[in-house]
Amino acid sequence: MKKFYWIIGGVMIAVVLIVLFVPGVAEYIEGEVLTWLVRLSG
Amino acid sequence: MKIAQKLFMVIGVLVLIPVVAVAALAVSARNSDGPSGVFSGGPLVAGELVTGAEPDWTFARDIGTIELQLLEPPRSRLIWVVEHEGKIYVVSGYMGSAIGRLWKRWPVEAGRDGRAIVRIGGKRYQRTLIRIKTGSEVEGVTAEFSRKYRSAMTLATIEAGTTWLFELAPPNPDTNGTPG
Repeated sequence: MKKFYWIIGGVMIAVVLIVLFVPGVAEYIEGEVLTWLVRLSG
Repeated sequence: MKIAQKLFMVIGVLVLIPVVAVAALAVSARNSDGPSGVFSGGPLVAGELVTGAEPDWTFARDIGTIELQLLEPPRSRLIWVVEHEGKIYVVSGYMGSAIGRLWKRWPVEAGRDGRAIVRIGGKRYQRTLIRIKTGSEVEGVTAEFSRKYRSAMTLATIEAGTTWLFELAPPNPDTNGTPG
């Protein structure tokens, strides 16, 4: 069980690093968020 | 039982990944000099601070978006702008829906304290946001927004409060706000 939590922690850190440092990922996520917000508001 | 437990954990992790990704972007943007596409940014720091005589705003006709920062709270966002009869204006749509008002809190904050800085073409200008609910200029301003951005903005949407219109007026000398 403890190992599982370590894996989750590692995955989350990897997600943060990918979002912040891999080119294009942030723009893609922002586009998706914007589309979702506009759809919700419309 | 163990299978169900593992399934819940996997689903939890799958939900957590986009939440963490969006949160990381939001936090990162909050600490930046200026906004990103969706997320609010931090104070506008870079760029010459233009003071003195009121600029000729006609150049704003060719500008798609500007960066707008309120002094309180000191957060910035990208926003549409139009020029009309020598003055510049910004709007916030979706103000008629609960989601919109949750998403866009700056118009309410600007109503409390309208002191602002805008960055246009790398230069910063001190402004005061003044909400306009009705008046002779509204029709011309909404027509310009509709022409420039193909939006469905009209005098009626401004008067109904579904769209909030602000003039970016010169800084008010009575206020003591000084930009950073």
